[in-house]
Amino acid sequence: MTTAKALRQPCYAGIFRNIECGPSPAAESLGFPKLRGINVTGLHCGRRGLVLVLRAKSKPIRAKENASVSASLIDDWFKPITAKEDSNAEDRTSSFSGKNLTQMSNVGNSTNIMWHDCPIQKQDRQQLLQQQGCVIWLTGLSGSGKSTIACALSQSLHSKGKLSYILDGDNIRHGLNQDLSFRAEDRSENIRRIGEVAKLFADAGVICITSLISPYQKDRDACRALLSKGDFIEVFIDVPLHVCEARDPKGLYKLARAGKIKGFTGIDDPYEPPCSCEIVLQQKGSDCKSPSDMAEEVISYLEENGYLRA
Amino acid sequence: MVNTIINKQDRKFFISMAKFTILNLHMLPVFIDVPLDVCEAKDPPTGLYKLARAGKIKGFTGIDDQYEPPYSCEIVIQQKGSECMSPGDTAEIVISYLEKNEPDIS
Repeated sequence: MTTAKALRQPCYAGIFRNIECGPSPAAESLGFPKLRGINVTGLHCGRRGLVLVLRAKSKPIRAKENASVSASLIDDWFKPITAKEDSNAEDRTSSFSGKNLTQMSNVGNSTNIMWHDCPIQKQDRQQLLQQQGCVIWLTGLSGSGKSTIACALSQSLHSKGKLSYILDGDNIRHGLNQDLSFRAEDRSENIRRIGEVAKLFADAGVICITSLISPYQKDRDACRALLSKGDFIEVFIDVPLHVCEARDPKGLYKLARAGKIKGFTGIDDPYEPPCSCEIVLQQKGSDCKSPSDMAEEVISYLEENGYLRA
Repeated sequence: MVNTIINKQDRKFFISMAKFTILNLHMLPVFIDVPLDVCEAKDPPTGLYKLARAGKIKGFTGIDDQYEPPYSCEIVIQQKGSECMSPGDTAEIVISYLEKNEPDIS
């Protein structure tokens, strides 16, 4: 993953508007300016405003709440990073999340907790595994072949020496999410929890393959938002409803049609096809592509975009 | 690697889950045996013991919630007297255990 992928544009729009990068194209692609005398390892948008995350033990410099940073101030402070500092790019990226800020926080129902960062970061694990940690989110109707494609994909990755893990929607309900029903709010919670676990796997450097219907764009977008840009790969298994119903591998369509299952996706609950996703695996007419062929389409995408190397 | 405060009741549940899971997990409890007074004396950077003593945090483990030391676990990392082992040394104890022992896959 290049450093540029770690940038979150909205956070920098104001700050970077007046910056002119130096002649070095490498410094330009890095996107990280250098605070005079101190190397800035990242910018973090917190509720208190912009926080400069500095290396070593320097305390963060906090912009005043709601105060805008003047253009002249920016010009004085920010200068392009020279090419010889390229080797620090990964170090800067790993600090980018701002997780090393020492402060107590309250998250959800948890009070008085503190994020504890580790010396071994995602980049280190990816280097060890020689792959990029990411989440491949398979979405599609029941019976579209998500689990089959997930297995084929996992097998293909394994044969290439790549570490992957499948988070199957049904399997997760055996353990982690056994307290969840199929009510609307529980289905959302199911997706949220799987998204959070997938994020941990990606941080571990694993290629995490999730396989659950996830019918609503809102839920999928919420999971995408958990990860860095480029780390979430949405794959739409575009198989028509009538084909899925004809397959009916779990016998659920039959039950739903008979009214024995309420709120079944595709029957009496809607499925929202992705409006923009990275990959569409389409079955064209009666032409039936094999699961391994579909898996290879995903593999090609991963190879072309550098996910299968550190 | 799981890093949390686990009481006996929680630990029993954890073990039973591990035993039945198809993933065939191997659980290696590691007890960081440091006396309460030492933990409380350290307190920073979170300052939670201070807050708990002042009554601002309820149900804080060690203060007004109990901690049940494991009655049997694979590794005990003990602080003897005032002698303080370094984190690197304690990690090596676990590493040694991992190297010496092959998982019992039965």
